[in-house]
Amino acid sequence: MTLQTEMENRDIGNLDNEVILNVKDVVVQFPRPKKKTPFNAVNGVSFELRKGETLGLVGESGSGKSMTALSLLGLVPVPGRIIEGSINLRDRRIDNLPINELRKVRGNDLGMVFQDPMTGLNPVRNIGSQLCESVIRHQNVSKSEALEIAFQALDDVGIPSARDRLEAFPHELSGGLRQRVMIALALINHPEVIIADEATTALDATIQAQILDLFRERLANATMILITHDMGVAAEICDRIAVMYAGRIVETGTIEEVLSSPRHPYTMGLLSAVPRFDIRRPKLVPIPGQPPTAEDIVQGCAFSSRCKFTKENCAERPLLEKRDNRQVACWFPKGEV
Amino acid sequence: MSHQKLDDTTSDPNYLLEAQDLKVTFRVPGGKKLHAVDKISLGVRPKETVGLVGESGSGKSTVALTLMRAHEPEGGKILFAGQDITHLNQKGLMPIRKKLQIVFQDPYSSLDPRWSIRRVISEPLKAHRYGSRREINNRVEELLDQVGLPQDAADRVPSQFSGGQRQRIAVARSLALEPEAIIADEPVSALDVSIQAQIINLLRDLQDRLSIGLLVIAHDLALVHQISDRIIVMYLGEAVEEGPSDELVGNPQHPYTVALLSATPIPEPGGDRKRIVLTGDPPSPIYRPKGCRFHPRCPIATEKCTIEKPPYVEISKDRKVACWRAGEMDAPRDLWALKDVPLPEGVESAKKG
Repeated sequence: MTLQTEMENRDIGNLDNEVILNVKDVVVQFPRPKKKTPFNAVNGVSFELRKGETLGLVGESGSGKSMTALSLLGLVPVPGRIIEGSINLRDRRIDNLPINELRKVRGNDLGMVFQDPMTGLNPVRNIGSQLCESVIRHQNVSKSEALEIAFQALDDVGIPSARDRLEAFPHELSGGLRQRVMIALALINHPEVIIADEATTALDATIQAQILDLFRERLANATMILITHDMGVAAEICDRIAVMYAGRIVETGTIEEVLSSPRHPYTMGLLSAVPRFDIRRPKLVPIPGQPPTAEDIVQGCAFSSRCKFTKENCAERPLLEKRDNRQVACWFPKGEV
Repeated sequence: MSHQKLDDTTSDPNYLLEAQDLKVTFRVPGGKKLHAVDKISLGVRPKETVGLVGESGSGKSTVALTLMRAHEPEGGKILFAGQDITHLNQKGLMPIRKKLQIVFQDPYSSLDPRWSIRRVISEPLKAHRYGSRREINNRVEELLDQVGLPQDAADRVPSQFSGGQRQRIAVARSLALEPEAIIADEPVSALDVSIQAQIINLLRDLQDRLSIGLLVIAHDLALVHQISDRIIVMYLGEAVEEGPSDELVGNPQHPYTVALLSATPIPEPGGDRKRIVLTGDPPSPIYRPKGCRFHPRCPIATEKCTIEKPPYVEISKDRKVACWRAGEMDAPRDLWALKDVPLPEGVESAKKG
């Protein structure tokens, strides 16, 4: 039931590549003070990430995509915690590591690019010292060597006059440059896997295009998880995507397959709702209703209350099943009976 | 009142809401001036939707607030139904406020968290002495119905609603006094995609049904194209291009419009899509570049562009552009040229109606 099987008909070239990250049945749970039952923000998510591929985790707010990313880094905010499942980085289990071990994993093995570079960077320390801190923590180098590595890292992500920028404070940089610094910080220790959480969401369209270009140039062969709500952004840089809804993956496949022939009614609905100027469409087709919140108790298929294909079967939760070499969690994919 | 001195670039007697050479500046520390809006002229006709597009800092929200008379313009005029309202006092503005309403971006901060929805929606009704309590209550129920919310919503508070529902409440409030025009400042940017489409369609339906002039301000060109009859593109406080939606998107003239179109990701598997990526960031509205404001980022700028500011000229009806090299930008046009592309299997396109 992993993505391994689903990869069989793909020719993206990394089929034989080793699995770097193996996430299995992860459940992230938060207590609900007002209710007896707790809330599972991530509810049994499994996927594999192979060397050199970019996997997009796509979903709307509350779908659990960011929480999935945080669980990989051991950063699930209290009182939430991982109560089930396992996360393996190659052969090593990383979801139950003590904090000092975890710190080595972060940065060394997993690099994270956060959405908001203003909160991701320390506002009262200059860029150079923040980069150096990370280098010195993870690499056995002197301070001056670290500074040189920091300069190189800034230069690599296309920051003009990088040497001067080492002295700059985050507030002195534009949003686009700050995001480049965040990317430099994530890459500086050459992590095995890069996790980018809505890395371009806070940016203007023309700046987003610059950062997407940077991703494509610098990170074409990186092993990466890209978290986004924007199908367009996913289409630009992902090899595969996993669409999430209410804490679960509801559909996976290669980017081509999912975008040109979506199976899950939610994926279909999302694509119908996005305004596109390359297509004449007199009216958008919204998905009625709203996604379940942390307060709702969902039984059966979480999407069934908004789905137009709902039948009595949907009272029971569909599993993420392989259908025609893809995975879909739906009793009636594409509305077929 | 002031129709005599209309300059020939903007005058259209049919405009319901109009800005003429509107200029807004702010003082910043150090005695410098921030030029938020620099001589913008725009107009919204009755029953028409006009989209105002720009990136952050382009001055589009300042235009909205200035039209609402929340900022004092340094120059230019604001006209509503031909009446000059630029310097009208609060009392004089009262009848205008009834006809011109606004929907804000963030439905989390635009509704008082302690007020019931009934109170939120009836506030403008009470302020304008709509009628008896009973009449006001009836109107609130009618409005809730119009925006697709249940009647029992009236006695709940904003925190009991999701973002999309809150935006419906904000829309209901703006409709309460049967306005002739509504300004919507980023009405959906705080919402999820599936909810965005609901609000966009709601605005379109209501506009059709109630014959409202709508000015939609947004950063998302695809979204603006979806609902607007005409689009105006702003850069650094100035309008750089405008035109009927399909024309502007199908045949952009200004290099910035071309770049904006090219920068928008399209949910279509395309591998390495060729696109125009602008270098650098938009300049500061305090220290603006000389000549064409766009020249430092423009891929086809010439020496002339660095010295002389291009005039905003009309190239055809409702079609204007400010560029010395308008239409010369060589762009991967097939990217967005309006096509009757079949949508992916299973993805719907609603029929007009």
